[in-house]
Amino acid sequence: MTLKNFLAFCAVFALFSFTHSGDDEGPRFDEKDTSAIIKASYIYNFAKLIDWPDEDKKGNFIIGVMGGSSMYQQLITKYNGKTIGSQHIEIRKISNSHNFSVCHVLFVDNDYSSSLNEVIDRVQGESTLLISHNKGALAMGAVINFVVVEDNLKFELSVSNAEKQDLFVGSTLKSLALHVEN
Amino acid sequence: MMKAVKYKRLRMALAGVLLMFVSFVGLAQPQETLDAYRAYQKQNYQEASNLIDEAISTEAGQKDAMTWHIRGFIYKDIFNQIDDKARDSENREIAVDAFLESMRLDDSGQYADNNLKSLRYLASSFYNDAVLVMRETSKDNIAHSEKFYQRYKGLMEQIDSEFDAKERDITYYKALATSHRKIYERDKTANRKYLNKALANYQYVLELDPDNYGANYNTAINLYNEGAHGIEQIDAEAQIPTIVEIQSESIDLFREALPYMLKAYELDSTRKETLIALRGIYLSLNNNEKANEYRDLLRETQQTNK
Repeated sequence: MTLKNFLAFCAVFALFSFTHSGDDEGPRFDEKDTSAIIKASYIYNFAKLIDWPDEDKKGNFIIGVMGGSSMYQQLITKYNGKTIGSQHIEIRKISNSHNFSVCHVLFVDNDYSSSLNEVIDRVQGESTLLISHNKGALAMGAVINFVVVEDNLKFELSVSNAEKQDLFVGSTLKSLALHVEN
Repeated sequence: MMKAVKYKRLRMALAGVLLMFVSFVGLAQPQETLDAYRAYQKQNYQEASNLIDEAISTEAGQKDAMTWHIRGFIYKDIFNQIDDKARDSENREIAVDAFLESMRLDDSGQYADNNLKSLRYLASSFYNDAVLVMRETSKDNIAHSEKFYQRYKGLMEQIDSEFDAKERDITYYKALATSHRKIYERDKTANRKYLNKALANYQYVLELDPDNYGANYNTAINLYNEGAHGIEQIDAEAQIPTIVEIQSESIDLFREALPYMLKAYELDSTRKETLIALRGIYLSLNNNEKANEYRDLLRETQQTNK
């Protein structure tokens, strides 16, 4: 058998060896936490489109994440070291024992929904942009809340809750929200 | 060495057929046929091909099954020995046509066995080329794979009434889809059309066999991966309208993937990879409730398999 014939034999043999299922050379499931990627991109935009009081425009711009480890990872990978105004973004993983008030942005993922009331109480009067993913969170005091509409992640916004936190929401962000509570 | 012995045997077998023909049927074929055969025996292929071409240009030669039969062997050997089985060899096609013509004219079936054996051999050579080209996964010639495969299939359908084209198509087009996908994955932006080709290959398999687990599963995975890739590519500085647009396009792909993966699950509910993929698709569709359902099923399956 010549080399050419041998190669032909191998190739044909390999083809017939494919199973009827997901064959060995079939595509691999490239699982990604796509929701986390989308949320991270939104959060960076929120930070750019909201104005903080002058006294908070010094030091690092701290984005805290409660829950959602892939969310934290996404923010680190994509935004750690970038700037909001003149402030460098610093991403922190936050738990209940941390001081929330150091955060410019605090994201509470839906797996931490049970802590939301406590978190809201603890950031009262602080200039912390509280972002959640929990039904009815605006009524509880969150400034921005992610909602799912026809499988897509969108966001709702409470201007009055923002004002309570001494945050100014620009018209651009208002116009992009699914709905705005004044 | 073995090859030489093999061809010597073939030529001897052919000589036997020829002698029988000359003895019992009489000299119906032109002289050029016999001369061509003698040149062929001496492995003088150039002379053999010239003479056999002359033979088939005569009226007697045109109607003579043996002349076409010998022409088939001469050109088959040219394809093998001179052209070294080159994919683009025209001599292979001439050999095929000659054997087919010999079969058509061979009322007594005298050459049937050898004609069929030779045609099967040549058909296999097309199939081999189809597979080899496919496995090169080259943008430049992947289209030739299908051309060779169709040639193989067409020939087999002509010579073998029991040939199962459907089963062969399923195997071939699933493998072709894999090659198309590999080309796409080398450069997802420039080679986007190869993903569409891969999906079209699977679609064809599903038309033939809607219950094909692999085609359903792989279609779903390809669609999901493409959607996830879109989201993954969101630029760090992308503004909200862009995020919304990319998300929407990706969600459409996840939605498109879902029924194929559900079908794969329906076909085989015990496979771990299907449960993992369903959980992932539902998560990307922001449906945590359904995602958790499949996460729990996955845990159950893993417990059962322990």
